[in-house]
Amino acid sequence: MATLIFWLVVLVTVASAIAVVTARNILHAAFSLCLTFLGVAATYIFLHADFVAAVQLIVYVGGILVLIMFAIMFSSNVVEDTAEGRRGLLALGAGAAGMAAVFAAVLLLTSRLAEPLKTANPCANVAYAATVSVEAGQTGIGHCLMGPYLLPFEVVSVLLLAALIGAVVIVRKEVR
Amino acid sequence: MGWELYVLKAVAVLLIFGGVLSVVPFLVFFERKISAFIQDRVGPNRVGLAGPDSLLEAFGFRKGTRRVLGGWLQPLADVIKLFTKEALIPAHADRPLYLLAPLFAVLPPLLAFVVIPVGQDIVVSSGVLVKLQVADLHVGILFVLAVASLSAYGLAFGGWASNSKFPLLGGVRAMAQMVSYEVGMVLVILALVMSYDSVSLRDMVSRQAAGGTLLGIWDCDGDWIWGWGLFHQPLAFVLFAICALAENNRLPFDLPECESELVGGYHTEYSSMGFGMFFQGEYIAMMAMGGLLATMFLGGWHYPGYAWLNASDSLLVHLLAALIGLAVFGVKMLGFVFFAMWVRWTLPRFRWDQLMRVGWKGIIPLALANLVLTAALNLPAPAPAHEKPDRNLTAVTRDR
Amino acid sequence: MAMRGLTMGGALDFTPEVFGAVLYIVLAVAMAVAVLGLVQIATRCFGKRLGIDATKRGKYEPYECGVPLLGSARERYAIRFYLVALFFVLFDIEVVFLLPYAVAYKTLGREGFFEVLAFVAVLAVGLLYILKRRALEWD
Repeated sequence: MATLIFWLVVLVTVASAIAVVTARNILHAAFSLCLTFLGVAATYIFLHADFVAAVQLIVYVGGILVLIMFAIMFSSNVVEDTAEGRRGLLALGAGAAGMAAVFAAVLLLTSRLAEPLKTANPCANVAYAATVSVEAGQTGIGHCLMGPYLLPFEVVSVLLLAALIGAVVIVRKEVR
Repeated sequence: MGWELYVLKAVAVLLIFGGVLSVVPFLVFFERKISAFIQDRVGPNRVGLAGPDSLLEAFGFRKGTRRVLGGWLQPLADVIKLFTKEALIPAHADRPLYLLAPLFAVLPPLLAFVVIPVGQDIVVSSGVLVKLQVADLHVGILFVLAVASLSAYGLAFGGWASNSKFPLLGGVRAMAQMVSYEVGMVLVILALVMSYDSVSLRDMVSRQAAGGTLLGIWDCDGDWIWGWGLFHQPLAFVLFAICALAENNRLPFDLPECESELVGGYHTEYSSMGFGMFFQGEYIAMMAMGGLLATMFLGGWHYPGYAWLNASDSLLVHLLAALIGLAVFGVKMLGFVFFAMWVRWTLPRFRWDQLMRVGWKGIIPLALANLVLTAALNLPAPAPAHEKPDRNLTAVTRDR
Repeated sequence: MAMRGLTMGGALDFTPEVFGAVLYIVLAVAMAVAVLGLVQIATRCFGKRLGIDATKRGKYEPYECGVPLLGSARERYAIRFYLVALFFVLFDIEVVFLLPYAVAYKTLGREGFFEVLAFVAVLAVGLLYILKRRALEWD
């Protein structure tokens, strides 16, 4: 039963991902992207990474996709795609996807992620901590962020601040 | 041994699912009645008690009955009407998105009920325990947040796919508004997660039933209502109620569909059950928010005296206690729905700039302050921090 | 078999809880699809017989208060809407970083609190900056 659901999820994810690239209408692509994000979140659940799944939905579906939708709606004449230049872009995209796949495969085969927990430091991989168990994953992520990853954690806040100020400055002409 | 658990779970799921869906038409009816009452009208009074007054009197109904009870079958009439309308697709609409958008309007609020516990656990026999909840997921409240982040898309895609100006404006507004208030809502919920020390809504109710440390300062027990989140997080309660109205696009935050400027907002071009889904989505969302509010702030199914009832060994008394809990939860949830209706027919609508100001200058800073305050007040003493959770743990086991 | 490698942590345990959630989700989706499909199919099948006239002018036009259509509905919008979405994403990410702390804060103690305070303070400065620059004013 669970395997059946898993393959169903995989099917939806991959099909909608293909639809994202092939859709003629950019808003259809956005809609398919929404389904893809949902599928990816479901895949995280199958990896016992419930927390990451929730974050995936909150940030990507809730945030990034809204951003994309607004971006589409702001620009006129981008909704319908014209045929010219499509083939070249497709080849480029396929190349990039292939590279990413190879890269991911190499990472998966060589990194600690593929092995059972062997390292002494449980924070060696936060994503892995999340997959061990859900409760441990949630509190574990907290401990990792406040412990060995404190500096990146604080730097993230500065990064977010920079992005915030950058956004305001870029549209300043309009604002002031 | 195992399979009956699945059967019991299926029964609970069907009951919750059916319950949520069947209440909606009646909520619409109540909204019309309440608005009528507030505006000193009669409201729907035809479908139900039909016939001339003399005939009704012959059946023992007094003259005033029609004013109160008349029209109680209106919900059924509404449903039949919506189902039998022509489901038209506007000529210039984007067909696939136009057809799919209503799904996204109704599913997110409906799915929120997956993690909301509607009643206490029923111990059928030793070892067999039915949770009156669709699923006690590990992620708990995060599931609601994740699902809530989907809810803007029904309105946005619907508005865009209609290819008409008013719906599009409604859709754009819906996205910006929901996004603005979601930050505040998540921050409020974070404070609650801290103060209950759990993300599971079921645990949250148990903590409230067990009492705890009020405002992180003085102790109280759970026999009376002092354990409820309302008294532990008063600011969060107010902020959450406001965010709930804004997330549901209810007045005074109903800019995505405000009739006086956008005709019908995002659902202007929808007819039949396409419109029905948007409508249903709004009412289910109100119930879901009410359910969350009840669970996080008003003790969920907890009521004074429940511990005393559950102390009995009799299964019958136990079932009675659970039933009372279910009813209590329903009252709390519908209490918020009533509040939302009351507000709708009382307050005028915000202007867009006011709405943004309330969200970004009011809710978010206050929610952030609340979060920091909660963390500071509940901070364990420098001494070993293993004292507090024990108290809660015993309480949780006691209520099983 | 081959699936074991793919699911990594082993397949999802199909506990009553998971079963309940899946059942509920399936029910909800099925209900919504069935209802929407039903009205569409009914309109297609019986519409003509019940007097729906698809040739009527204006019936399938977008609603514009009865006035002839003016221009396209695919208009462009104020950049401020985009800013709102951008700020939302940034604050959403902040919240996501706060989440693990909120779950584990009891065991993180005083140090954790001050570390998070620093994190929140930086973003509070950001919020203050947005409000000071009036980036969200719709005047």
